[in-house]
Amino acid sequence: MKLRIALSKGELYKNTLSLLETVGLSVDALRDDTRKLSFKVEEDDIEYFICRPTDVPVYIQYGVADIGVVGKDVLMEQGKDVYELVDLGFGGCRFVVAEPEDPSSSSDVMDRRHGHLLVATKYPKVTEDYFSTKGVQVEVIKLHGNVELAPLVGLSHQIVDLASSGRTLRDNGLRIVDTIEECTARLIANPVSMKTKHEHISTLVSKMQEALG
Amino acid sequence: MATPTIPSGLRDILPRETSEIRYIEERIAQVFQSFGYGEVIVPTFEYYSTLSVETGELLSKEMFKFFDQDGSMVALRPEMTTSVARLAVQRMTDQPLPLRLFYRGNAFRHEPPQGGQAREFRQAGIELIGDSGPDADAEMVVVMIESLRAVGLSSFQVSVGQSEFLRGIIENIEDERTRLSVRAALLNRDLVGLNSILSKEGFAEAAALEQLSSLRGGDCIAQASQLVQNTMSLAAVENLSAIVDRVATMGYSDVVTPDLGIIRNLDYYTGAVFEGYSEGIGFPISGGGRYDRLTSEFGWSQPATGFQHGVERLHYALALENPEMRTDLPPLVRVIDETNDKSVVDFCSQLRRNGYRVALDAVAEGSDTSLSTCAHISVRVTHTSVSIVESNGNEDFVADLSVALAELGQRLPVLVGSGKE
Repeated sequence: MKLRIALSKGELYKNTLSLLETVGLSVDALRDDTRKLSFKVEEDDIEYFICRPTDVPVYIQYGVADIGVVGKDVLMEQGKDVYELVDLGFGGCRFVVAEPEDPSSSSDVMDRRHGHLLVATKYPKVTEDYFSTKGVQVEVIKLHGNVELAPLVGLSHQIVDLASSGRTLRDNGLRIVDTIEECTARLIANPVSMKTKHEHISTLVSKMQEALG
Repeated sequence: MATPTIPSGLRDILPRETSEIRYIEERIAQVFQSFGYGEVIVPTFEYYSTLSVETGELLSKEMFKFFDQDGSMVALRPEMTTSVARLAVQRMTDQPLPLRLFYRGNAFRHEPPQGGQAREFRQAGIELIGDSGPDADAEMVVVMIESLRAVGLSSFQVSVGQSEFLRGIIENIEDERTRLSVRAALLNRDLVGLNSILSKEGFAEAAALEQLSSLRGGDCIAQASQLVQNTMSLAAVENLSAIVDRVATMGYSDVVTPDLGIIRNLDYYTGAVFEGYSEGIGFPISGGGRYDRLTSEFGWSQPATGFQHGVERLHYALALENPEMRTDLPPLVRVIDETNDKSVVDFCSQLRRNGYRVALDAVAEGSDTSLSTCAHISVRVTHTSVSIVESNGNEDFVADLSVALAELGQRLPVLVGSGKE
């Protein structure tokens, strides 16, 4: 039975191919710099789909792909009903809460006016989940990029964002208040594929776990 | 007037697809009936307090709620089992047990459309109330398989699990924080998170959870009974073993997999759980389980088990296997009549008696009748001729209507019991 694998284009791609190669799969065709989005590798009986990272869980949820590689950050924000099978270790970054080093710059004024916490983020679900677990009432402000700006100009008190080195935060005078989750790449699977292609998937999972040590 | 629209997640179903869906539901109903189940029709909406009595928070959120004239909150049914249980408690407690009931109909949920399931979707299922034994659960598996076969699905798998297996392990975890986080990880199918908890917080039966996704197949029962010590989980394994043995005795073991890794609404199910899968559909096409607590919520404590098919998902699975889906509809003949003569009406009646569907269109003399049509075949009658027109446009003239009748019988026979194979 053919296995269909959805791969995240971008930062995770190279490491994903190395891992697939390590577990003995043929990935040469996937290395070619083409615009093709799907590849059949007959010798392994696998079909690969190249997707935007945020789309990988969708392909898996619908069962169009059986398994896929995607960052934990994407999984947390989307909350799709998929199996999370293996922590692949690479692609490390973390969800952090950050605020200005010098809070008097904006938030004091806003605190008095609003009486509750304003948080800007590209990840509203992660943000809601985090603060509601802590029992803190917040107003989440959804932005699409350059979230660091929000607390500096008085749009929010804090931000929730992905950080790898934390340099962008420091450069903008923000300090990390808390780390919500370390996010690495994950192997995920469709719940039905876990049943209908169990042998195929579990063999691959144990090979990967072995390769990752 | 603007182009009319309908709310998102709803849809119209046109004649071709409707006939396929009716065919599926009819075949399923025939199987349910053949196992002694009686059909019930429950209200489309009921008191919210009734429908939400045992459902989790998620389903309560997904219900369409509104207010009745007296101000009480009502909701469209998000599934049928709760209504059927309510019906049994209210109306059928004087009947001999067990009760065997089935239903088919639509249900409603506010959820993003997924896998061929819109906000209004169709279910067909059975409930067996008043029998706690493994044979009752085995009957669910068998009826599920027989009804999937009856609609013509050739490739499918049925898994049988036992929700008390997981519940026993979870409840046996002493530390409350660990217990809650293990439970959350399982519900999220987050095996990475689960393993990370297990590596930090060792407890007696951690190994069972580590191996959960591979606790399936013929050996899983022996394997699982080595991995757990708590009474609830051990009883669950024994119960699953009895169900699987019974299913095998009845000759269905080739499509059934015991699977202790099925995670299915841990709050609701109290025993066996069932799921049916078809390759290429990313969601279970059928599902169910034992729900011994539900009727007691209505004041009549009876063990119960059941399952339902998602009709649209099943339809989709069938269409993947064979795009030319079968229906029970006999061939459609279109009769185009320029004569307005009674003999043509009689001809149509005769065709209908012979089992055809007949659409009679009276047209003006000399009309352009080369209209495209959904009919399999057309008969054109003018004052001077009778002809048979195939759907590809080929026209053959015949002597008269009685010859046309015989010719139709040759070209487009009505199969006795068509669609029954």
